[in-house]
Amino acid sequence: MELSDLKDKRWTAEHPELGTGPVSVESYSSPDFYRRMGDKVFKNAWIGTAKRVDEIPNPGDFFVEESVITNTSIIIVRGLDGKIRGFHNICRHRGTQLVFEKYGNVKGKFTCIYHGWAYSLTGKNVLITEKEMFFNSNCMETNLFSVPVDVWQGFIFYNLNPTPEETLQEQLGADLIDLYEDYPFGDTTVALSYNADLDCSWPVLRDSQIDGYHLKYLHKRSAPNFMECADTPNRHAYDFKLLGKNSSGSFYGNRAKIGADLGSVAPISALASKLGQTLASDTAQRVPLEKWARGVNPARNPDWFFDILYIYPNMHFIILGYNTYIIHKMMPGASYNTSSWNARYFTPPLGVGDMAGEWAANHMKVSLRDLWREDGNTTIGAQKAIDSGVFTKMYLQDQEIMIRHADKVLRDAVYL
Amino acid sequence: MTDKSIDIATQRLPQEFAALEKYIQWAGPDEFRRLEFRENQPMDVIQEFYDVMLPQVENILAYFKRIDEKADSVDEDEALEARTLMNLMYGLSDAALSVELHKSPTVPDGMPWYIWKPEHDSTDWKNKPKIQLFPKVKESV
Repeated sequence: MELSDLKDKRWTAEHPELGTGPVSVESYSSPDFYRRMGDKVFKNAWIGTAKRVDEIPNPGDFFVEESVITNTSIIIVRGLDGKIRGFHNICRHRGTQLVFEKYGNVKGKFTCIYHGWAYSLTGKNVLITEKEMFFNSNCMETNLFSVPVDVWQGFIFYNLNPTPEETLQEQLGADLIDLYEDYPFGDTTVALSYNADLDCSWPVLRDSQIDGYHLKYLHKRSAPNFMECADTPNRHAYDFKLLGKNSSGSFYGNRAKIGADLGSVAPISALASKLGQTLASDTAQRVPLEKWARGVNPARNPDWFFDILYIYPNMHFIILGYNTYIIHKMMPGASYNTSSWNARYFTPPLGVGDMAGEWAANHMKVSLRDLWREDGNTTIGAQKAIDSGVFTKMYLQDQEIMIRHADKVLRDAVYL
Repeated sequence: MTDKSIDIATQRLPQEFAALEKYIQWAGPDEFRRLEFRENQPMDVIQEFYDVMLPQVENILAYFKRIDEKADSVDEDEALEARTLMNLMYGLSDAALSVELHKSPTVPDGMPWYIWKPEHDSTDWKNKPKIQLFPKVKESV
């Protein structure tokens, strides 16, 4: 399929429930909406940690997930039996934080620093020090508060609702699961991770990533001419799919421009793209398109740049190639107009003894970092405008359908 | 090559690249410091470093390949030199982004450089359990 085949297509028209009118910025601007969102979404959905099972491979391996809007700290730990479980990071004695490290390994149990109470990796209390000095100790509830945890394609999710309204598979939906079933996530691991605390609301941050329209303009220096299409200059996407609460988009890339310009004007960038995997690397040359997962580059066109997969509520997957992708993990901050952004990049592990590859991987890292600074800048500017109160509605074009859909899904979750 | 950070005071380049010693400030031992350095240089300083390094890249990559081939027989001094040279090449990446893309020491339409905190250089990250892949094995809870 060529991009020009879609000249008359209006994706939004195929989803009348979305409408085409201006969209209120209530989700960006209202403290009340933020509070409701905390309860209805962040305490009641499967939240992506953006961390994989390969990061806690052995019994006792753990990481801690913080969420400011819900005031929670959750320990995700692999048990002695190999299962992954989640617990509130709270000692049942007097509420002390049980684990202070963000990552680590414990030998069989968690021990509270305060009075030495201990818990097995299944959350069961195994030690109350000076137990005989307590009153009615048999009536005390002393196991860790457990949190439902589940895994999709190696990615760990948790749910703050002790009895989740739907399973993780239901939240993702059968279609999404099927479309990405064959993507080799299991061959990849996290290679880098950046954190930013931003002065913008969480929905502003979410929407900054799910539009391909901005590539040509915002990233004209860091991704020059990558999306220039002479035949259809106002189109960028081969495909959009609305997948329940989630959505995907697949974006055109001008392969000739991406490859050709670089060699003469940007020799270092060109070199890195050959030695490793960068934004400019031609991955279709490395693995034939027919072998790619069905959901990725569905147009099967070598003039392809990337796909976006929005996984409700808090993750964007930016799929850059056959086995390389980014996850933008976004969480609301302590107030309606702050948020946090964790950008992680995943790739097959770099082999040892490949210094040139190590250099190219670092080049990719800093290229992404600089590119993301451009995205981040728009979010900060936007929130100031929104907080002035004069800007109350936004206009979304057809190619911004993922934003329109994400807003509707969020409002439905908050109000229905 | 292990990813050890090294002290800026003790780092030195391999003998064959001694001419680049003048630019050692570009070889900061971690990403945050390297970026801070670039953001604070005028464009002509960045351009000079880039212009000096460009013709050396082929030799540097050949050097890296020799180190790869030596593997475990690399001694401590040589490892330090190779790591310093790698950091210098990392500095070249930052300079190259300025020269080739941004045309500026900073990202022109970008947010301030210090907002992104590299978690991968943090102490917490060093305590991460060692990665172990589970290719296509059904995980259960």
